[in-house]
Amino acid sequence: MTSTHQKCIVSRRAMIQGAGAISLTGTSYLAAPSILYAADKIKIGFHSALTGLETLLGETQLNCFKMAVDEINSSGGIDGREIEYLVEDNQTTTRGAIDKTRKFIFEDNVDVIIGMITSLERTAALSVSAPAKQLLIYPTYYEGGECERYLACTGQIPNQSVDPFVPWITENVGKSVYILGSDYGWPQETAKAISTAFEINGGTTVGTEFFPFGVQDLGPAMDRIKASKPDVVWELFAGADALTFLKQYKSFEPGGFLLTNGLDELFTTAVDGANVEGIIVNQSYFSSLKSSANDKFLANYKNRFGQDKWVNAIAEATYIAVYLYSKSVEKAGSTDTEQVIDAMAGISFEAPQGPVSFEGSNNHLAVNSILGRCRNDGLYDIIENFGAITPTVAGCSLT
Amino acid sequence: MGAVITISLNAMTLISILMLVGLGLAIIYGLMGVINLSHGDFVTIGAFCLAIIQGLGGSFWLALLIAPLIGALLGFLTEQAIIRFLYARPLATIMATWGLSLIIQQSLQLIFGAAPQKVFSPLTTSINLLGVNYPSYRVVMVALSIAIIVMAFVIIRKTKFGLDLRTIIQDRDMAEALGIDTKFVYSIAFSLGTALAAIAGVLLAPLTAVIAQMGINYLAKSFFVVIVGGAGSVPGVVAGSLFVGGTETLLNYIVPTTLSQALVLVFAIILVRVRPSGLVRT
Repeated sequence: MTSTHQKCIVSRRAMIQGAGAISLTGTSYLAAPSILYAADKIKIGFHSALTGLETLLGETQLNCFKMAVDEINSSGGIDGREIEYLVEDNQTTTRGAIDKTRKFIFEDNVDVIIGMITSLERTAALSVSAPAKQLLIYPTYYEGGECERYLACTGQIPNQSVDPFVPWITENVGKSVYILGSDYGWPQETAKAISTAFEINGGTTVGTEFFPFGVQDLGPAMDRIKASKPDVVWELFAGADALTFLKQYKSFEPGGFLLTNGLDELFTTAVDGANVEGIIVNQSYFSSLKSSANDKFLANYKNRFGQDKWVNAIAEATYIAVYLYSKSVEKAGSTDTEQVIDAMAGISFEAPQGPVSFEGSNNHLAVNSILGRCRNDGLYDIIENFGAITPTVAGCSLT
Repeated sequence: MGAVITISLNAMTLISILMLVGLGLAIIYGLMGVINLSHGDFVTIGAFCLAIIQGLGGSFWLALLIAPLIGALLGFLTEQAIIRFLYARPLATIMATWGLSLIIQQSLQLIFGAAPQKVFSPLTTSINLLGVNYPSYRVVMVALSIAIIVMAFVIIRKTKFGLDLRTIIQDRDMAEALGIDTKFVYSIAFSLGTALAAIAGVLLAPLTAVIAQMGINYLAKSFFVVIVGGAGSVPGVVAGSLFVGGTETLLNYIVPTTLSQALVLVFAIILVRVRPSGLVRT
């Protein structure tokens, strides 16, 4: 009884404070002359999986985000305006992503939000940012299909990863595939794209199954792989669960050539090389790419965060996201969200992965599609580069 | 025939994982009544011990000896610094151990970084069991789990320490009146529980990702095993693990994994309704 009563008071008080804050913000916007506002710093909100399931990816992502901001600031900022940033941890949860997005938009008044790893964070954040007409830049490769003016994506979607990869597989490895992954949006939707691509290329899907987060024993699944004798096993496990899969897959050796578009340096350098050697991965970026842009990028990263550290595709796409925003603001000559979004279309530049350009019709980036074969040290030998591929989202026309 | 053997071996693996993690908790929660929400983090500490020792060039087997000592030491310090003041306040214990859990996770992440720790399985080959090829490490893990369970059973049933512990559980005041040093026995029992969690961590590490948050995955399941099996005894842990692990593995061959985990929960709720004190009554 008492606790209900207390809760009631708290929420009432919070509401009054909230209402006060909103009216205050409203007033300050009206009062501030636009020239003064334009002279302010540019504020970027970064929230991502700094704890929880995807912790292993969030740290490097944050590092690359900071590195991009610092590079831009040290070369004079965006049109002379310094970037300041705020970092929040969404704990790899929908609740966290919603709370932090709200905080950035309604309390901190950020100009743009960048970050997030999983699709569940993106979907949650978007449920707040899109109605608020706030730009969100999502850098992780995902299942595709988003068609939203206020969302820009800088990672691979299936037509850039799965579609070029599958014909290569059916020609060089085999025609039957067994797909396993975590039980949520990204693996489920990507699995559909994989099955469709195999069908188009004369292959078949002999099994598809999904597992709850934190799965401990994959023995029965290994049994089923063995029984269905696939040519290829495609794994789509999220975060730490991918390592559980790799370790158990190796110990059972159920047959099938392991490949995926969901692994990178951060996973494969964290396990015994014997577990990962030979796996073929499609990503938009690998640390081992040889180009002057990547040499410089990687050297800067290592000098700052440690010589034994590596960058993965998600972190590189986050680095790109900051530059994409910076170039769009310069082109628009303003941080006004509508103008920045209009300016994004057609922006192109040389990223560590190679040339990239922004596709305004669906707000995705034309990123590279590269095949790497994992070595014993967890890094990748580049075996094929399909180049930058224009993203396609069915039925989407934003411009 | 081959299928039956593989299914049994897979079930045995999951049962062993549950037994290993559940056993330490059965002592701390089941016997002492302390709801230790940091139990999973002692599993993590065990796994990190393995990573550190292997990183320094030591072997897996050395880690298996050292990890429980470190687990016991940290458990002893936890008991002395926090738990012993809270035996009469179960709710405060929940808060304190939850806080401790967060502190352990964040400290590990601050010291070792968010990247997963590299561990190496001591055995990478398969052995042929009755015509079925099965990873030898899993077989060793099952065997060690059984040995550890038997050892725990003997300690609690046959030694003077076990007798003291069981006396205290029945009636703490009377035990004290009879001259048993209850404080000492409790701190040893708590350390024993955390040592067992650390052993579990070493044994599980080659099967999973070694990260600061790995313990979370085991915490809920181990409470589950102890409650279903019957809080307060080693046979209860065995029964609980057999029920949870066995049902989950068998269902896994019939329905998707996500559904099988949910169904096990449903069965467990029904079971606790029908037998409120668990499978093994004390």
